[in-house]
This record gives sequence, structure tokens and C-alpha cells, in this order.
Amino acid sequence: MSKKMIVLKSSEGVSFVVEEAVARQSKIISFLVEEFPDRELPLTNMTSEILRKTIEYCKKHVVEDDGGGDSSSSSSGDLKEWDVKFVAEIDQPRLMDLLMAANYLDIPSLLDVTCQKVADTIAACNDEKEIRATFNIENDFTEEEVEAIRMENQYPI
Amino acid sequence: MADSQAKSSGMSSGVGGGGSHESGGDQSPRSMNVRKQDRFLPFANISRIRGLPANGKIAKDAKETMQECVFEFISFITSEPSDKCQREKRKTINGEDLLWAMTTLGFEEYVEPLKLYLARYKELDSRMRMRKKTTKKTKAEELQTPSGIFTTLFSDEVAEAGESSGFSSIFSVNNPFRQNKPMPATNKPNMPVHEEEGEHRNWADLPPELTSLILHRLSTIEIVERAEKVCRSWRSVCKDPSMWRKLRCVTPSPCNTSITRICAVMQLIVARAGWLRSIYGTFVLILSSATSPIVQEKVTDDGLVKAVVNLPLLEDLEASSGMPKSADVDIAIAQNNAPTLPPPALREQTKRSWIYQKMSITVTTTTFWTLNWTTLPQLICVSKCIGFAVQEKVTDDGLVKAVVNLPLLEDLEVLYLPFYGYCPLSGDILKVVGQSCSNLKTFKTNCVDYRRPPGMPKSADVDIAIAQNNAPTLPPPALREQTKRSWIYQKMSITVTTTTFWTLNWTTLPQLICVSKCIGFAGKTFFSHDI
Repeated sequence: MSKKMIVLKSSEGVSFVVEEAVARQSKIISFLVEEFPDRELPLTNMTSEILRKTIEYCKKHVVEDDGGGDSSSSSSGDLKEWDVKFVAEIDQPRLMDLLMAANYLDIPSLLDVTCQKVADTIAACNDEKEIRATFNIENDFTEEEVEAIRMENQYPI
Repeated sequence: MADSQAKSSGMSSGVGGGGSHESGGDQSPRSMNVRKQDRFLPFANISRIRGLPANGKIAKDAKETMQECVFEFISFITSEPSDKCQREKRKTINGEDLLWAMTTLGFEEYVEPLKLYLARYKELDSRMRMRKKTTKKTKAEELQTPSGIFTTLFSDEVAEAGESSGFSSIFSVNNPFRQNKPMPATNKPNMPVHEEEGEHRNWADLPPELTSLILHRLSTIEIVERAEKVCRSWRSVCKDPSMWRKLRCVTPSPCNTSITRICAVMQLIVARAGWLRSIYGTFVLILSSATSPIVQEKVTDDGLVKAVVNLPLLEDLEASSGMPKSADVDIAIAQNNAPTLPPPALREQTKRSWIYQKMSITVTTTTFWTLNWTTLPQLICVSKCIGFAVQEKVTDDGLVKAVVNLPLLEDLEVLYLPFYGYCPLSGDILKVVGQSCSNLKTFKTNCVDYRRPPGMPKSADVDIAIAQNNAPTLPPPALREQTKRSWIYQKMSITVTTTTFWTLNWTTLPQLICVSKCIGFAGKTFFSHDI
């Protein structure tokens, strides 16, 4: 069976040629492919790096889906491991991009993996200051708001 | 997107009017150099309409129709404010103009939700702008008229004197991915979004729906304790009711969080629950705890009870391993949830074990008798399934108090834990039980054997009391004789202790026309002469 290839173009104009089955894991691309069968698909809001990462993920998952018929349990376990490794290698800012890419391209499994990674990171933080530091969020509460939070969290112990 | 879809369908009658406005006029000249489709909403966005089943698809022509409808609607809805702005010599249509137009054009019912949307958008936007003061002036101007999806579109369209470049801008607001990207891009147009600058990526810029997606994976405690205090945007996400549809109070490990903290958080949850009750019909409260018994007790006493009391619509409560089912909690649930429990038929068939589990009551002395039993009669169905698994001895008074107020109780389970030993109930008490709960069908005790097969009532005293009251509802003699003989034998077998036996009011027993025939005695102290 001949594999149809699809061309995806990143924001820098770099073209990525991927198998249709790989790209189709994104519901949006899947849809666009049906709509515009023979066109290059410009993904203007995705950098090459993020697109490459996304494709890497999709490739891995499409392979597993095809070949994992016999030993599905072990291969799904491997896949999980691979996912964990995959997100572990990504640093914070890129993770955010990847997360948004997963959301935009509508790849539920990737979105799930990335969200979980972020949630785990948050859960690993001891307090809000650490979260702010980890995620580079500035504390934009006004003094009144800080006070309000404090009041809200006053427990009768 | 779903909004505009709804609107486009809602205004089908108004489309004709819309066409006669400016949209009809300038459509033809532009379509010369712009492909028709480019002027409409991108297809991809239509395919993202929510509410479809997972594998659902929209036919192409349906999408096209939708595109056109939405386009038509947008033209229609902007034409009015466009005129108004021209009259008032303004160049930009703002959100209020649109709301005004919605009102004049007969979409009053959308005005309120849109107002809310607008307010929220403005709030979000002003925050964005605070952070991005360096944004180019022109962009800033555009942002100064933030009014949600429509305005972003229309400010383009009208400000550029009808030279709309297309509809992509509509999604810059609606589409979370695009929403964020253009902002940094305006700062440094020539740079990839995350170069060295990437190190300073502010996660607070993540679209709220994604933040919400992430925070949903945290437990309630983590949200209350940490996530909520991080920054404004996270806080607003945390305050969103959707965040509180599920309460997951999973304490990861005993050492991580102090007991008092857990209690405190529980109380916070309680406070939240108060306002939650009006918002959502369905709650799932998942309480799992791997913590020590002390914590369990503390949690139940301090927080959980109040929590569930404030969750009248709670439908499912999961207390996973390590978390005992506290009497207070269960009863409180029962008190509040009777109306929303599954209908009897369904429950009987499929959820029997579930309800049993949920309603079984593990009581500590301190909490059990403080319950307000008087409200329990409302528990039409629930009370049927209430079971007692008593840790401490159930005092006679207590049991009486309990059952007297449960006229509709059908199943009563009194389980003694082995280490409290054999604890017979006095005959008077059993009579009270029987008389109070005329619907009582089963009454389990485990005076002798803690692990009694479920569903098989055996206590003599209780059975007699039941029999006293239930005679009319027993199966007709013929049927009973034929098929239920063993059942009746078992039910009516009397295990008597000296103390209880003679206190029974045997005078009522003759009413048991047939049943009495089958009464067997298997007593410790055996007196047969009485019958």
C-alpha cells in the first residue's frame, strides 16, 4: 500500500513531509487533508522545533498503533514510558508551546501527556512561590487581593 | 464558535434583512480578487465546533451553509452599529455597540451572556496589556476595544472602511492557540516565539481553558493550597465553577500534609460548597486518603460532614481505601440526596451493592447520637438501605431514636465488630424497631458471627418485631408454603437470650396466622412450652 505524504509548513517556512497516517492523528490536519487533499498545509503558528516534536510524537504513536496488535499490553506500557520520557526531555517554555500545539492541532493524547506533565510539576512544588518560579509567573496580585486570599484561607483550627 | 453557531441558526429569519445591509453591497466587488472561502470562517474552525460526538463529522455542504450563515450573521449584526458609528463619527465599533445592536435586532436573550463575556474579556485583556506595555501603538489601539469575538473582527472590518481582510481575526480571540501567539510576535516580530526569550515564557499567558485543563488534574487540596495563590489568571481559573464539579481530596501521603491542614482545607471546601450548590447539578466528590486513622477521623469530623451537607446535589461519593465511611458523612448525604438518588428500580437492580456501601454507617460514639435523626423520615428510599456497622456498642436508646424516625426503613443492618463482643438488643428495643419501621424487610445483626452472608437476616428478636408489624405484608400462605418455606423458617427462627425472650409481647403474635406455624426456636436458653 502506497503511503500518501503530506507537507506541513512551520512558521519559519520549513516544510515537513510526513505520512498521512502520522499527520492524521491531529484531527485538524486530518480534516484539512480531506478538505484540501493536495496542498501544503501551513501551520503558521508553530515553529519548526515544536512541529518537529509534535511529528516525532505522532510518528511514535502511529507506529505503535500499527504494530502493537499482538503484545498490546506491553507495547502500551512501553508507549507510556516513551511518553513520559518524551515530555521529561522538554523544558518548560517548549512544553507550553507543545501543549498549545497539541491543543490547536487537536491531538488529545499529546494534550493529555503534556497537561499531566505540567500538573505533576505543579504538584511537586511546595508552595505558590515555587510554582511561580518554576513557571515564570509573576505575582500580579494587589495588596488587597493578597489580603483577601489570606482572609479566605484563614482556618479555624 | 458554538455561540455563533447558535446565533446563526437563531437568526435565520433575520438573514434576509441582513443581506440588504452593507454586506450585500460590498460582497461582490471583493469577491473578484478574494476567494469566496477566504472571506468566510476557516473551515477548520467549523470542524472544531464542540458538542459533536467523538467521531462525529459535519458534512461539507453543512459546513458551507454554516460558514455562510455565520458570515451573514456577522454582516447583519455589524451593519447596525456601523451606521451608528458613522452617525456618531466614530471609527471603531466596540463591544457595547454590538450589544446595542443585538438588542435592537431582536437577540435580547444573547445580550446578557455576551455582556458577561465582554466583561471577562476586558478583564483578561487589560491584564494582558499591563504585561505587554511595549506593544506597538496600533495594536494597543485595537486592543482598546476589546469586546470578544465579534469586535475583534468588526473593528478590523469597520476601521478599515469595509476592507476586511477576512475572518481570521475572529479566531484570534476564539482560538486559544492563536490568541497567544500573535502577542509575543508583535513584540519581536522577527523572532521565533521561543528562543532565549523562551526561558521567560510566562505560563500565566496560557489560555484559561488550557490552564483549567491542567489544574483539573490537581487535587482539590493542591488547588486550594497552592494553585489558587499563584497569580490572578490562575486564581480566576480556580474560582471557575467547572473546577469544582469534582472534589478530589486525595492526600498523597501522610507526611506531606499535616492533619490540621487537611482539616482546614476541608473546611475551605465546605465554604466553597455553599456557593457551588446553586451552580451545578452534579457533583462527584472523591475522597481518598492514604492517611492515618487520626486524620480520617479529623477529616470527617471537621470538614467532610459540613462539606456534604452543603452538597445537596452530590450524586456519587467515592471514599477509597483508608477512608472509613463516617456516619455523619453518609447520613448527611442521605439527608440531602434522597431526591436525587437513582429511581428505586434502577437502584434495586444495579446499584444495590453501591448503595449498601454508601449508606453503611460506621459510627463512633461521639458522632452517632448527635445526628439529627428527625430529618431522616424524608429519606424515602435511602433509609431502606441504611445499615449500621457499629464500632462502639449501639445503645438501646440510640437505636430507638434512630429507627423511630425511620418509618420507611426497609433494611436495617446492625453489625458489631467482633472485639466488642456479643451485644444483644433488648426485646423492647426490638419491638420498637419493628413497630417504628413497618416497612422493615431485613434486619441484619452479627451478634454471633461477624461475617454473616449478606442479605440473610437472622436475629430472632428482630425478626419477631418485624413479624409483629409485617404480618399483613407477608407473602400469601400458599405461595409462602410452597416456595418460601425455607426462607420463612430462617427468618422466623428465634435465637433467644434469657433477657430478651420474656420481654417480648407475645400477645401480638397470634396475628401471624401462618407464620407462627413456622417459627422455630434455636435458642441458647430454650423454652418451648410458651407456644
